Amino acid sequence: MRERQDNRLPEGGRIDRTKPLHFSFDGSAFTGYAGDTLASALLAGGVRLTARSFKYHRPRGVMTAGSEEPNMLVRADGRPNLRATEIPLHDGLVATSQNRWPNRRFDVGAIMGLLSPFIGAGFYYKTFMAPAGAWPFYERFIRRAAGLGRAPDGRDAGRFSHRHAHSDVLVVGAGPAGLAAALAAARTGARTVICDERALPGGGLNWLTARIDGSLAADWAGAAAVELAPLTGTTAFAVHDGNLVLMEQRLGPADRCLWKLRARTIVLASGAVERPIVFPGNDRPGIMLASAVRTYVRQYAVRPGRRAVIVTNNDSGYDAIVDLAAAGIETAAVVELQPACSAAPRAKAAGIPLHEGARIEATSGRQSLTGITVAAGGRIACDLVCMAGGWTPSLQLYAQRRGRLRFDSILGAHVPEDAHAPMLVAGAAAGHLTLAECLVGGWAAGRAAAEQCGFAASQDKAFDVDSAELAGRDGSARLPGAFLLQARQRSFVDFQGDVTAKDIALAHGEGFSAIEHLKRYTTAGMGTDQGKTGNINALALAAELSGVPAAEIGHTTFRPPVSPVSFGAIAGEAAGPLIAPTRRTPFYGASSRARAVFVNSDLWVYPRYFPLQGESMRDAVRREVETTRSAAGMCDMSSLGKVDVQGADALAFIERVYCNNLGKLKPGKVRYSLMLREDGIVLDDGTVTCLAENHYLLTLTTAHSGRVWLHLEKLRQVHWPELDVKLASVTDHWASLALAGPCARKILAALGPDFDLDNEAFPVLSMREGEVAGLPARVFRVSFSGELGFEINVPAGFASALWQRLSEAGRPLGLAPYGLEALDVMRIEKGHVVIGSEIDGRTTPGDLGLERMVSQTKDFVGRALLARPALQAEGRHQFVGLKPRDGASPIPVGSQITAAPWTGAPQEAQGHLTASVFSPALGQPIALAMIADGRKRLSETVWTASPIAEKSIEVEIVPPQFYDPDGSRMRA
Amino acid sequence: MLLIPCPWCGERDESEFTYGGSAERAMPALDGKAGMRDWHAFVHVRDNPRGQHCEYWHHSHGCERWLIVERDTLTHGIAEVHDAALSSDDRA
Amino acid sequence: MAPVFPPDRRYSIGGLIRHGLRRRPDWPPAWRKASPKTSYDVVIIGGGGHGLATAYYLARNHGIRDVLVIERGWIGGGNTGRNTTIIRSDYLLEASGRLKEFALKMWEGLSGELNYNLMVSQRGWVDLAHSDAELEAFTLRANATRLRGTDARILNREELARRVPVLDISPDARFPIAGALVQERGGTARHDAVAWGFARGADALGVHIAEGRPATGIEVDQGKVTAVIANGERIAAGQVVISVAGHSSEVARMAGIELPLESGALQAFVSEPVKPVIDAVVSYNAGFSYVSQTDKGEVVIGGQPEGYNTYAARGSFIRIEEAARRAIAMFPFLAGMRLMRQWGGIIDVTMDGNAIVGPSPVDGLYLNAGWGYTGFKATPAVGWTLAETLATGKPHDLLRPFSLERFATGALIDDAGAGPYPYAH
Repeated sequence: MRERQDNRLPEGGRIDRTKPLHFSFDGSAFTGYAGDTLASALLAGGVRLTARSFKYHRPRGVMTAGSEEPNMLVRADGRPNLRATEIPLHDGLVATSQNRWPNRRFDVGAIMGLLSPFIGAGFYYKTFMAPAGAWPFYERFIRRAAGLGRAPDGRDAGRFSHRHAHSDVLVVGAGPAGLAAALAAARTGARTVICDERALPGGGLNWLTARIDGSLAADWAGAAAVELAPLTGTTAFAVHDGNLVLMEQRLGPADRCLWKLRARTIVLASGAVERPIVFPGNDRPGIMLASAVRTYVRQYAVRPGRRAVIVTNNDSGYDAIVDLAAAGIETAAVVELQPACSAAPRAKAAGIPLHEGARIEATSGRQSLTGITVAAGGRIACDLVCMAGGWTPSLQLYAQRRGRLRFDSILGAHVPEDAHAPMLVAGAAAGHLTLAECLVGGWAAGRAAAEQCGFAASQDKAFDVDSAELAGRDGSARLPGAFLLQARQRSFVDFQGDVTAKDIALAHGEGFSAIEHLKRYTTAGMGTDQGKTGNINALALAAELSGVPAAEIGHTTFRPPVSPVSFGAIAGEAAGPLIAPTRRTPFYGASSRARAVFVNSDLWVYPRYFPLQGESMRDAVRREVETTRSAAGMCDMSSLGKVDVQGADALAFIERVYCNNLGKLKPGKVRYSLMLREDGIVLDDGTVTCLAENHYLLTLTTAHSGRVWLHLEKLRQVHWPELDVKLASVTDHWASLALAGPCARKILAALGPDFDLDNEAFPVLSMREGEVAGLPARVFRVSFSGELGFEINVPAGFASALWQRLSEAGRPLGLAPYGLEALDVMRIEKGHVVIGSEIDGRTTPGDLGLERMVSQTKDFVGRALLARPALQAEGRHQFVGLKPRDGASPIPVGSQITAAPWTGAPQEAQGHLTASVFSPALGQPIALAMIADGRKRLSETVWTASPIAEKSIEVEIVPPQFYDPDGSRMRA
Repeated sequence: MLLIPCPWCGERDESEFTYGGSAERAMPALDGKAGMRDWHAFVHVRDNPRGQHCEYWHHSHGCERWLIVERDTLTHGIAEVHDAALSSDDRA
Repeated sequence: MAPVFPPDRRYSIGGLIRHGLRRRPDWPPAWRKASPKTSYDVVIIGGGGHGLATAYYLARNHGIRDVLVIERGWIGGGNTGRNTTIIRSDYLLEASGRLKEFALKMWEGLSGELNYNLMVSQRGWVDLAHSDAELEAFTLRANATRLRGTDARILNREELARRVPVLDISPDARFPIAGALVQERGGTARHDAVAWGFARGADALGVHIAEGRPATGIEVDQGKVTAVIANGERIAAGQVVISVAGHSSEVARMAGIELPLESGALQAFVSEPVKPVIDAVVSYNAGFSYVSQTDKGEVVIGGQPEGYNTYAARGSFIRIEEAARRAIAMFPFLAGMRLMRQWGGIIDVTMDGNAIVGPSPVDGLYLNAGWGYTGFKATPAVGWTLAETLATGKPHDLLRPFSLERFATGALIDDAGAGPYPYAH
């Protein structure tokens, strides 16, 4: 019966047996306890085959007890590729195995194992090329075979947040070294944060048999945790410039918090990961890391097998003997790779057969280990192998900060080297493997870290450690490559990628011996386990094949993340609607009440049109245009950038910035002006108003206002600091409403302005300041629409009041609001150039027909490079208008301009459309375009070509000013 | 992530700043004397050093001052930061 | 002439089976690790895709085999090994579009040509528009592309929903999607394979490839290039090509040349591998992010460059966040998946965002620089046209617009209209 826990030890473990938890795996029901991981609970339930490998679909079981797990990936609670060793068990957990069909015990994919001689590393580069163009066919199968889990089905249910913090000291890892370091630092008064990727702090202290200062190791850890309040289930996965540490904290099954912590100093106490041993057949369910077996036994009270063989190349393998015995597991043999080992007496004392200088030839057991065969030792029946292949310090964070590594040939792995290390490293991460070293070294590191932050050094601490562990250092012995290669069974190096010793030899033979080439060609180290158990073994084998010491072969670059991080956590709360700020003008409320349909324009949300009941956009826009041209319309112009310029050199400043002359601009006058980039291309257009002597107001286009503001400030502060001028960005200070149409003056008059509105008193391109509708106002007589127009600016807080009063005053005369669409139609009819369409970052004033604005008498930004030959050459695309020859055919937007209609054959384009609308004023479609030598070709016939719309329209090139070309309506 | 020590606001995260390009060359004066060559050199040609680099940063979400930062483009170590307007005398 | 591989070297299913049946597969090395001679007709500095492709086509098209490719690290270790593998040719401007379409056509037959499976997957490039105005701009680009004889379509929302069903086109999104430009012939190619494939092909034609040799000097005598110094050795050269991407300024400086470009960083990242779920390359354009899924199942996500000068090949987490948010906006299920690996490369971006390919002010010295983040897709075309340029002494027709002089003359190729600010492209 599934719910029994056949392999749960009757007592012990850091689990809470008073809290049974029910979960399911591949549809079967199981029970575990609070404190279990999914892996430990399944082991307790006697489940050995838990996964199928990526390429060959080999039966696999769990190999480790931590984040280095390569095999046991599951889909749990809707998320794929989770390591069962890292999932804290919770009630109602639903998990399934991955990458198998129909189920993990009988997987059709296992046929790939038969093909294995042909599908080694890089095989896909050597085939699938014929017949030509057939790759997409093969690719479909490859893609289906690839991938581990299945993508989640829909939106993720987790809640994601970000947290920002500062600390004096950050300790990464809450094992013995980390806890000691954090205690040392915290007790000096330094603000100390300590984190650990596991749910239970303490690291090895939770499964080692030892006493620290009289307490059981686990209890000592517990007490330290109470004092330090570590962040548990929290993986520090990256360190950036300025010691910005990123950590992913798992808050319950679904929720994640991403920490961004600036630490003044970092102590890296992230421990070391035990290496598997590379031998033929080393991947069956039941073959695990020795430290993992000890963890399951001591921390989770689980018996992972009945009869074990220890396969080891260093002393620490022998530490497992006691733990196996304590769990009632028979140790059938110790298989020692070294010719002689100092710890051998331990095996002898326990009465366990010892095979020294051993060579493992094979293992047996299809879905679960049944035995291991040692040369000159025969087959040993067993269902559990404890691999102790040496220790690899976890130095990813250290290496991310470009800390230098040194390959320690005895340890068989990289250790920190630097005198000028980017962070302090303590404990097993520094290559110190005994408990005493970890505690003492950790304490010293924590002290040093606090000292670096200016906190008085605390006392040195002596730890009274009572432990029988050997914690072996020498982890370099391996089976020779030649031996592995001639064995029948495969020796796995990277378990998740199904990368074998043979693959590495293959890659090497083909010239992929540089360590990065090796990684990419074989994919070793590129799995979700980041090569934590496989990289060193791959490196060592590569070194052996190259005939160089492992220390010389280098290593692949350490890049973030140390362990995979949830995208949801990375996005945090600023996902979805908060992905970017939403900017609204002061008239947003009024526009909404007027039933505007809004549109996104960069970060702005802007009224697009104001439909009456049941009106389509087309009808609404047409009505808005007709109303504005026949009566009056009002349009929100608030998003335009506005810059206030003051100072004795204000005029000098703007003269340098704009290409047109501004010297004669008197107070109360407005001029349409053009700003060029340093290289002569048009940057922005807008108005310059002289408010008073030495006081100007500039308007910038909405889309470019941020960029132009930076440009202006850069000129002022960086390049011309000698000028006496100050700028202020006042975009958000003013709400701006354009009132345009033949009735505009009448309506404005009804608002009781305190200045004369007469055409002589208030001519076009001038500005008046005073009171309008009882509100302080600046009124600019400018017109984008081409009608008689007034742009009324009031302080932003008065926006709603202005809108309301203007609406009331205008209602009897038919005043209606209009939005961006209608505005665009009218500007097209008037032939005004705009950012994005004609001003596209490639056009000059000459291209736009504005060459007369370019001053010949002053120097200004862009003048010199505007004179570059290609910018003045014949054949440049020039701004013109287009009318369909038949007076009726709409011209598809985005059309190119060609000499002949498009028939499907490639053609040269002579230009392109920049806008196309139906003109209510002319009663026909019109368009604007940039055409080679356009201004010399007026009344010529060309074609617009839109392969997308499958339409070519015969058009006539005309001046772009379609409506009121002499501007009389505007000047009325 | 870069920590830029703004002379006015202190050490601030890179997200508060806007990059403004190389500060290695001075803009030609707008006195009508500089021609296409001078401007081409200023606008287009770059040292682009792998190492010490003089560059502009604008403290957009802070004091809004343009700063000249001497930063190593390989290690990202920042050697000096000046307010651009106030240090104009020192540059060519 | 394309190299003809003898039976024991030729890659094929038959070869796989033959080698697989042996005790130990013994495919010969894909390329020899050459020790450089003291002189060559052509020395190419930079063993990335572009450099190797140039060497390949020099030998293949022009019979110029006395060629050395010199690489400071391991071939393909620069941007060729770090890009997000996109190929496409839907560019607005004529110069960009024509060169990239030439490349795309070459991609279509390249695996066969090189006898190396480059996994050219034309699964479609989908460029999202977030407003009708944007869609209009995309239509312009699509029409420009079609007029050149290259494929491009505009999809409205309904058509887009059918084309990429897992894409979120909800109208409530912060930047709702209005439609897309699609180039069905666009897609991806396996980046590492490109370097290895060209290396193997070039090697088979007699080209020398020397790794682990940084160039430290370029000898120029009376305005003509005469040698390259690497590893303390002087290698005489009739012609030299600089094709080193992010390090262009540093290497060009060795010949006394200053370039109008700056080096910055671009990051990308992948998810843990999952079964096929995204079958096109999709690009998000409100803020920027693009997503595809490799044949291994990893979802590849890229975003915006760092925006400041750097040679550190790494960047800030802000860019990762911004790209991830937009990837999730497109594919909400991504929130439940995890970032597995991230990396960065050094991109050299010019003052108009387009590359400089062709002769330099030094006689015999050729530049291939400034490809920014758009170089991978052009790889075979660059190789072909640059080889012809070297062989004939005149810039290939497609390369003429990409001259170094264009910044002085004003004949810029600014696809984005962003101006002389590399950090803005």
